[in-house]
Amino acid sequence: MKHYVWLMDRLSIACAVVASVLLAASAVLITWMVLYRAMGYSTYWEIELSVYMMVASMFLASPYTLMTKGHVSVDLLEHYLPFSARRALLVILALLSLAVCGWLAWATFEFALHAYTSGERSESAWSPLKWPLFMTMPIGFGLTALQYIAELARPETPEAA
Amino acid sequence: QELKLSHQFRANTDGRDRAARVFVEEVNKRDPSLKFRIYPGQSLGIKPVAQLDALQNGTLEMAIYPLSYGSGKIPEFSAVILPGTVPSLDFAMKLRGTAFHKKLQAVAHANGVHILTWWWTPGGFAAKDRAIAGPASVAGLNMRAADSTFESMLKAAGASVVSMASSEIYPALQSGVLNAILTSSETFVSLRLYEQTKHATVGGDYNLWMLLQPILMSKQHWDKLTPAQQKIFEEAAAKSEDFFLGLQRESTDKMIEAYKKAGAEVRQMTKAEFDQWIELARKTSWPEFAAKSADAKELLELLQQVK
Amino acid sequence: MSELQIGLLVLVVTLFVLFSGLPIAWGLMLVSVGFLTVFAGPASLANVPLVLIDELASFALLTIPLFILLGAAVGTSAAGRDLYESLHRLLDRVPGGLVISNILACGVFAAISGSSPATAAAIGKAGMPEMMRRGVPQGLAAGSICAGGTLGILIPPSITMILYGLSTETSIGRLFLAGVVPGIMLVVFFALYAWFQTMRHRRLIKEEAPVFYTFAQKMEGLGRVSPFIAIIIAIGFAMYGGLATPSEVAAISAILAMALVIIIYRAWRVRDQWEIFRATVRESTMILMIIAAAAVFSYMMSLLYVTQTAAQALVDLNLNRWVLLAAINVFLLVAGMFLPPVAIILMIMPILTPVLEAAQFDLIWFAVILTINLEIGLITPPVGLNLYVLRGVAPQIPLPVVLKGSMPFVIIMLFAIVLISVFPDIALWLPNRMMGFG
Ligand code: NA
Ligand code: NA
Repeated sequence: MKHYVWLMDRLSIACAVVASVLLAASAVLITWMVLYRAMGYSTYWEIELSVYMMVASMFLASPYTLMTKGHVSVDLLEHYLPFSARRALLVILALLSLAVCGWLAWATFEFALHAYTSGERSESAWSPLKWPLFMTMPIGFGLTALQYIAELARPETPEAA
Repeated sequence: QELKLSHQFRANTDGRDRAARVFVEEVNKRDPSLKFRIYPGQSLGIKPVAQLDALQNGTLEMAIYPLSYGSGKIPEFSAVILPGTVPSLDFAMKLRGTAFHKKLQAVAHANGVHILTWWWTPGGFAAKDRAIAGPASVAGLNMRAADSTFESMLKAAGASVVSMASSEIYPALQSGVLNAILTSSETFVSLRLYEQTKHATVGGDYNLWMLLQPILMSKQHWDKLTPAQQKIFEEAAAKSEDFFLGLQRESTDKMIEAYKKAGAEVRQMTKAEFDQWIELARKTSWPEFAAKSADAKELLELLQQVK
Repeated sequence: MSELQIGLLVLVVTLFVLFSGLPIAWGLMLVSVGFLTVFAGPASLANVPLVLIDELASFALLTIPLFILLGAAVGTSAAGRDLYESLHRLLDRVPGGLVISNILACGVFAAISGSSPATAAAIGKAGMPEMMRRGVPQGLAAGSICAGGTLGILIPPSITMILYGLSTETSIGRLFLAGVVPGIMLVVFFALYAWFQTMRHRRLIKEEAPVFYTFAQKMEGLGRVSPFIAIIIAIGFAMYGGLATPSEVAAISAILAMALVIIIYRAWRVRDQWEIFRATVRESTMILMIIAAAAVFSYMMSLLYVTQTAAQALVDLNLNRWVLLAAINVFLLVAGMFLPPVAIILMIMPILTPVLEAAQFDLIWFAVILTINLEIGLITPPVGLNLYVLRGVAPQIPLPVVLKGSMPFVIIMLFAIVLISVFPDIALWLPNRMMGFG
């Protein structure tokens, strides 16, 4: 299990790095688009591509956000519980979150698969395929679910500030 | 049984919402047992374009759906916005019941939806700094059109195509990100675009921009209706079409009035200008559309056979 | 079950689930999926992925990660500290200048960042140790940072205003402009309060020999602020001067800020960049997941006709306009105690918009009222993001002291709400003047 936690942490960090690159790329792309348009040229695919990259970026960063306790919650109950009960609560919450993310991964995968087989495209002038956009969802939720398993397996939970 | 009807337009003021209420009223006159629930202004929480998905998977029964929105999933739907193919409201109504209508319905059925009403909306051009006439007049402008077939024609005429959400149109025109726009007469008034554009070009008998925005019904729910109920729906649809046609005839007048009141210039597109656009469309939008599929090609041919 | 009964059940279950400590995004998803399954049948779940991705795949939403990137670039590098230091040099002779320069720095940083916690973190990191060292009372110091930080969502650009604009279909440019005068007004009120408090505690503070700066040192300070001023001007020029839409401005200003910290603060190493980007993707993902989940939640509420019935019930109460506004304010203050601003807008606005329209309240004006309410929510327990940011920056100050120090600022903000209600032009004058009436 130690190896699994180690591996998941590395994977989550790697995904966050990719997410960072994608976000930076979309900022650069939009800035370039504004300049290019100001020079009088026609632009049509840039907005959609930057949106695709942002969505991918956000889903890829989700496991890292979890690892660094970034998915905010109302952590009031936790503070009022005795230490022993606190640990049990955290385990229950992690299991629930795992179930939610797992279900979302499955549901969004079916959805993305349908778009893949039907070859659905966007209705814009550029009309890119839709499935690469949709596929970011199961990847993001799936990795988050896997990271929850790592959080459950992690030897001790450091105290939240 | 309860039928949900979703759309993105403002309740009680937008013509499409009002026509939908006429439809519901007419159905209920004939069969009070059918219950409808209208979700206006995107209030169901499903985005305008995605309503088609919800109709197809049967979670939504009905939606008012500008067919061009569906062109990503059903490329043949661009047939109802091809530039210059439906030059007037009279022509649009003449299409009802033709081979074109039947073919379009067949395409819709094959894709899990049923076209219930024949609601066409005319539109026009408006620009900030110059009057739009023929294709040469849009060169160098930043424009927003409603559909990809239109956009390829505008690009060929030398315009830049900018895409944005409808809520951004007004500030985009104000800041100059956009300096011309093509949309329905009703939208020009409802978004107060006459405040930001000083030159409007409307169609009259030479309408370049015309779009079918019908009530679409989920095919599986349409099939669940008894033949008697289907007949009731069709009668109610016909009533709503009369009502809608009246509104649309007024809509261009209302647009002209709003522009004149704002001190802006309004002109009619001339036959010569219209022909220039058609010539350009023949080289760009039309063949591009026909190349999409055999059905698309057939739709275009059927459309051109109507005189 | 009637719609209102279902609505009540949703409320109870949602509060229970969120208070259990489940992350807000997953909690909202869980409630939505549960209620859809029970009350609309499992088939209705087919739309969940659709609603989810449709909400996220929007160009307007891209502004959120981009403005967070902008804030992180400035806040994570030494740029935030420099901004604070240079303002302090200019105000060295004003009583309470130290606290006032903190508040001003918050105001300036708010004008380039769209997020309140980012503003509090950036200025707090630099300002708190300085104020502690010079004997500023803990409560006043903490309160000024907590409250000053909340200006991030009132002074444009603002993430919550963008969401409000998307939700109510009002012009984002107009909303941004509406926040300017009330934002400046709050800065002035906060500064006056700080000045007043410093005069009272004068003896405590002036123990240490005051440091005065020479003219040259002041000018050097001014030089260091100029890049920030340049970014603010660039944003204003691009947005209101005809170059770009708000979404595009977000990208341009993020790139400008990155260039600034890379060129001036030499943050070009991979490690520096990672610090900026990891903070950005982390906060953005958190917010966007909540946004996506809130979209599914609103879909559930709408499909079950809960939202519409509740709004209708509120309209049917036929409250006098001002009683209605007071009721809405109390409602927002309570919601603000428990929920972050983004979640409140996404869940509440679909219900409130028809009510506000029915009562003929101006939606642009209401955005300002709402935003100040949300600002208060950021410094009220139990869920107050700025409180937790400050706890991170100055862990030695006990929470009760922070709360007590923030309370006067809450009262000032409530006063501002009353003032803007009585004089709507405080919010509406600038947008009407720059964009015409509408
Ligand atoms: Na701001
Ligand atoms: Na709070």
